[in-house]
Amino acid sequence: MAAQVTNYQCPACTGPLNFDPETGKVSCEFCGSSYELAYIEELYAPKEEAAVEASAKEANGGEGWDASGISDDWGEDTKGMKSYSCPSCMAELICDATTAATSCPYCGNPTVVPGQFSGALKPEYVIPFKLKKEDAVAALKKHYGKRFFLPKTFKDGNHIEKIQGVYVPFWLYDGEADGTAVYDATRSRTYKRGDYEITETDHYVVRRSGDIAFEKIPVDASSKMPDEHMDSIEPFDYSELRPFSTAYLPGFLADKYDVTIDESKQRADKRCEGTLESELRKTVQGYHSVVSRHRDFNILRGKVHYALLPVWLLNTKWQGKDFLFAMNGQTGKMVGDLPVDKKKYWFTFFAIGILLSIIGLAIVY
Amino acid sequence: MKRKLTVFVLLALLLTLLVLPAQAEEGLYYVTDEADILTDEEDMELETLLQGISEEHNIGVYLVAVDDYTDYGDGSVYEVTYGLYHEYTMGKGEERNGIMLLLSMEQRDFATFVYGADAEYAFSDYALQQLEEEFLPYFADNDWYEGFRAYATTCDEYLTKAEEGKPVEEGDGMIYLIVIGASFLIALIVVSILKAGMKNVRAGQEAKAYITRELNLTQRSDQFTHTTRTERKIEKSDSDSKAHSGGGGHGRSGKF
Repeated sequence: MAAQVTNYQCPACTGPLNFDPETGKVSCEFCGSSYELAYIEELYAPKEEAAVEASAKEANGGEGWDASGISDDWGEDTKGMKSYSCPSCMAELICDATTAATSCPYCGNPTVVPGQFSGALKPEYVIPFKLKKEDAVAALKKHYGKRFFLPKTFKDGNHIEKIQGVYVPFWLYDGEADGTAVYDATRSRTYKRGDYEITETDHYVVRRSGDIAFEKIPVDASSKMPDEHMDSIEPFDYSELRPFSTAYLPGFLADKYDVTIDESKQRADKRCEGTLESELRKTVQGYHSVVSRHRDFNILRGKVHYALLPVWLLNTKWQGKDFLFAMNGQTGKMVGDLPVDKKKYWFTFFAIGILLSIIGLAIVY
Repeated sequence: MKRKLTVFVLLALLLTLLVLPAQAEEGLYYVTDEADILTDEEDMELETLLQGISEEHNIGVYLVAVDDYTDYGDGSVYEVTYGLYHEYTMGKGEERNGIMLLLSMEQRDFATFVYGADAEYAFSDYALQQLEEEFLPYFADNDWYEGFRAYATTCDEYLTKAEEGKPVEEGDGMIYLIVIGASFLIALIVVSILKAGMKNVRAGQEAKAYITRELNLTQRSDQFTHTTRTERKIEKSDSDSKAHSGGGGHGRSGKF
């Protein structure tokens, strides 16, 4: 029986293969051999097809043995889970139904679930990882380093609990926004006449219409990924978008989408409208005050692309609270909220306040 | 012989006239304790203190304690103080700059009187009010010496400020409050900026990085609708008249 998943094993020594962000090739952990992606893709294409078929058969109840007495209903707890057999050690893997690439917890071999990316689910693009785990650890240290209010105990006693390189599914939206924004604007002048100060204010109704086009606005399509973290690690450099291949996945986790195009489009629409509003507002100049009164925007939705983008996720725990950091696996941009040392915060506040008060009072006294 | 006697008497009178004002300046001008509420030592100490302050600033600082002010003239305690100041031609310099505090023990009344442009610049109505707050608590406890000392040292402080061009004015307290408030506001801004640096996770609001065609402006209109007009009467600053008042002098009075 064919396995439902594929292990990328070294053709020379059968050791596990991983995608190497530095060289852009697939390399063996054990013997150090490295291979071009095209070679590995060609080598593993028949295995992946077999895995897809096996997965489909499993979904249809298998063949041969009568397994009707065994219930596949695991109840609510395992809803959304799927089981696979590791081709390397034959261990039974149970993982999230959206997982597309992972590693076997028993033998450590990287495992790709090709069926997850078949047919309509296949991503068009992938941006390969450019940065390694060590880069993510160094970036996190740098992220800590500059923060004045970071508690010392967080910095010193903090241990990274988990680091994962994840190919996160994203919808990339093309589209246009057009519309009209109306503003109330004023221009004032003040002058003195006798004992009176007179202010004259001219009022205007300012109207601006225009259109603007976008390409590949990214919106993460995984419910497991926090949206704000994914927005914050942008932008990605699309010049490095590559046609999708599972050969980029070994060594990393990968998810398939579980948030649909329709469910995500509101986020893309909001950003298109926000950008059009901001660009129109920039053209309203020469006034002392400008207040938005009304706007009427339309979104002309274009093509949607499906891509896997590289993200390093780092989890830490401090005083019982979880802290999640995300790094753009292509550009190295690190994001994540840090705790504030309250004692240091208030000490600094009073120290600055008192010092400035003393200086100020000495000047006016 | 008779002619020699006449010359001697005339010389003696002349000498007396020359010596008396000097005695008056040293013995009467700064502390006059007719009510006998100070010991001799206290009297001497205060006299030395007030003389030093007066000479340093060239503005006379005087204190007078009497049993009953009505024995010294008609009118209110303030009017009597005013009368004494002029009757004894007190003050320093051509303008006779000075400040006088009078205590009337019988009625427990007090009055302050300020005369001369420089003195009035240093002791505005507001400054006199602040000055009272320094010495009245001591007088309420019948602690005359400490009350007079507070009067003397506060006068010295106010005169120094006036010489530096910063006389005690009504807005001073407000200025201090503004300075302290502004200092803590700046402190809040600084710590808020530093705190904001601890958070860099935000939802995306715009998509500028993904613009492929810049804004194509299809309509641009700026339509004038109307003009509004507001008038505000320019208030004259009170501090002008206080700082430059002078001539007849001013003062305050009350109970202690």
